[in-house]
Amino acid sequence: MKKIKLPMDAVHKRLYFLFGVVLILIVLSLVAPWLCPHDPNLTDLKLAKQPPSSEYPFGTDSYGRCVFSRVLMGAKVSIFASLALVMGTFIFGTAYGVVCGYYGGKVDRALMGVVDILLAFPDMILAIAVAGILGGGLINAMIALAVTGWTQYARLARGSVMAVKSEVYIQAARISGNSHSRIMWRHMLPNISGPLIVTATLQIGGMMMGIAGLSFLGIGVQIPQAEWGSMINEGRSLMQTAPWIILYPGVVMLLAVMIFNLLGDTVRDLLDPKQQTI
Amino acid sequence: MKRKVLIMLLSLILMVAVLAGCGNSETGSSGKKHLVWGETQAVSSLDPAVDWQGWFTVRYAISETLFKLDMELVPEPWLAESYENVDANTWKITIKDKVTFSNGDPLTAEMVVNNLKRVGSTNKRAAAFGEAAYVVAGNVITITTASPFPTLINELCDPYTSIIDLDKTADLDKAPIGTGPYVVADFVEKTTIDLTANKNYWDGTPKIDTVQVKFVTDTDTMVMALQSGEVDVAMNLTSDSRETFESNNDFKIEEVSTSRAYFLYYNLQTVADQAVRQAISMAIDKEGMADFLFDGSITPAVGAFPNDLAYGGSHLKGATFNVEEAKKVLSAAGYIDTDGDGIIEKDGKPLSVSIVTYKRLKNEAIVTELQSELKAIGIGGEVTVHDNSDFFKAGEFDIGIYSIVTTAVGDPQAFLSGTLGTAGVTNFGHYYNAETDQLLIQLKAEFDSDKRAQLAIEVQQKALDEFAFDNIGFVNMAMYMDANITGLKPHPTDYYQMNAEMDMN
Repeated sequence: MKKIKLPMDAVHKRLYFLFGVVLILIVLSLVAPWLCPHDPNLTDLKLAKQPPSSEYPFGTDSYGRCVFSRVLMGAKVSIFASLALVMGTFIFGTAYGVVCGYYGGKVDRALMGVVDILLAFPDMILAIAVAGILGGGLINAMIALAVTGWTQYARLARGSVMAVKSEVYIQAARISGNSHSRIMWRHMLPNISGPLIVTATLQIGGMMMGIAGLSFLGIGVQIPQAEWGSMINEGRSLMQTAPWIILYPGVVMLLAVMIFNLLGDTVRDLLDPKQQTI
Repeated sequence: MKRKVLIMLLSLILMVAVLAGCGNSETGSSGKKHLVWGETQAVSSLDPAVDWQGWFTVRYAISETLFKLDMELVPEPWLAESYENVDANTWKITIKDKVTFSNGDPLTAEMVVNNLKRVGSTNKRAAAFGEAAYVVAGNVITITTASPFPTLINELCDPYTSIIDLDKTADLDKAPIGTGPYVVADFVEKTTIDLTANKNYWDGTPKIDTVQVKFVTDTDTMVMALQSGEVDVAMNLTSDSRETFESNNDFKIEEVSTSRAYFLYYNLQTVADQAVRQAISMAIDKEGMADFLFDGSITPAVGAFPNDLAYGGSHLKGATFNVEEAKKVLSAAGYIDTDGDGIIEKDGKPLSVSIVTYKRLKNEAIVTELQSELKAIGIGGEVTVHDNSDFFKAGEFDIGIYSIVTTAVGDPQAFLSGTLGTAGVTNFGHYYNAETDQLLIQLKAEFDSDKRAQLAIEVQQKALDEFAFDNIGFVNMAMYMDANITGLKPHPTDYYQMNAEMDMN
């Protein structure tokens, strides 16, 4: 068996570390239901607004629910919803862009016209509008964010495909009789995937913020589902008297987004050394 | 060297610009008292005859009504001097003769009649005034109603019967001319309303010279505005802010219990099993919610009206909070958890209800707690929060929470007919009881107040026995203000806020 030697320079070490952290996060959110010390939705009014203690590590909220348990359950929603969103928009956007770039001409103009229209709207505003029309709920919030989220992959993929279209190996593939789809998916896509994967990884944090933002406004997850954004909204009015209700979800959200962003930066450093940050 | 000078100059200009922007603008010349009033409900028109806009015209002390309700919700004279109930269809009302509008014109009986006719034709709730006949003799108006109207005087306390100088008012929406101590100087829709003291006020001299009503729709922003001094009075703050201000001596809180209820509708068409409704009502911890969720700012309720009223909760028997008994009621009715998932079923169908409300006051807090309480007795609850209450008319709910004032004019009839009468405007639960309809017809024509109270109690108890509705509690309205303000107290009707006595020292 061929021994695979994993590269071990600084950038790669960072990658493995962050990847490990992300994996731990994902596993944690999967086992969250079993890790919760208390039922995240069980209210007990007599225990409302208690500061952190040994029984309730993050304190209780205004209904007496355990903030720690809710933060754990919120992780599940935030992480998996954003991963699903990014995966969905990535696949759809990339496919769209590759087709546009490959065929060019009228097809390209028509399809990219749609993208241009969507790009004219500020992302969050359009997402709020769509979520508002569809009504609340996590699925509708994800649809709302997906509506604007795919366009950047399309643009990127299209541009890359156009740049690569005139390369020698593509012409060779064409001459040797490969079908269009084989050229697009088997030859072009692997070569343009670098920047696309970077964008996708960097987007995870953005999507997490998007879901939290919509939930904060009340058009994302519905009562009583635990989600960091909606927890921050519920804790807003008690910021001065019971700050732990807003503090813990906020800090955890910050850390999670930061980790994913760092991961994205590292992936970019790896795939495109010219754009490396320090 | 030249570059350095240029950079310093630019930074200086930038600093000056920032500081200039940061500075507070002077709100009036020295010696004049100016009050900034923070309001969360934005107003686009002050025409009192339309919808519920009159509430604002009266709150901002721009207009007044013939009678006003005292703290016990009993009418007392205001613009009127006295009244006489001649017979079932005839009333004589005498107007005070020293009253003037803010422009100096005297208040005449003719102008009063014009206003009543106008609101009768403009506002559905005031239809009775449109159908009545009026005769004027000096300062006395004789009103002949189309059918017996026992609550005529109470209705004349409703802000929609505000008396406006209809002849001289140029803009009814933005600057109605009333008899109150304050006059509209400027109105920027949904932003600010500037008021100045009425020099010609017939009932004293207003102590504060100018008032600015500032609309701040977000409660948390309002809390900070009060703390920073941007507003002097803040309306509609929730009990969450209580702790922040209670211990701070720079502020004070004035509070009153009102008849604004967190009313619970059961959709009797979809939650048809009385046992289920009974169990749900027995699982609601009203005391717990009042003490812990609302920090004492609601009073738990039974029935539709505040406990102490002659037709209030102290005369009624409702469901008692008992989770174990609630579970027994459900199992006796055939609801058992056969698959161990925590939700009970009957005939193979899991018992699940939709709990619906809209964004108002602390409705969302109630449905969050309700969902957990229902789960505790094995009923699955799905919560939906809308932006407004339109879903009630469409019947898209099993349990609905509604914020409504139940004795707006100190009388039970309007609310009971509307909510428990078959064709009632607010009968969202589709309650139908033939005996109740008969009692409501009697109530509408009954002049004796003791008999009225009896009828109201009977109607409520019938509905409570069937567990047709519930009432979480009544809201204590609070005004949060700077400690140096006097003369401002909230009223159970929430009609009367600004007045000529309010002062800042």
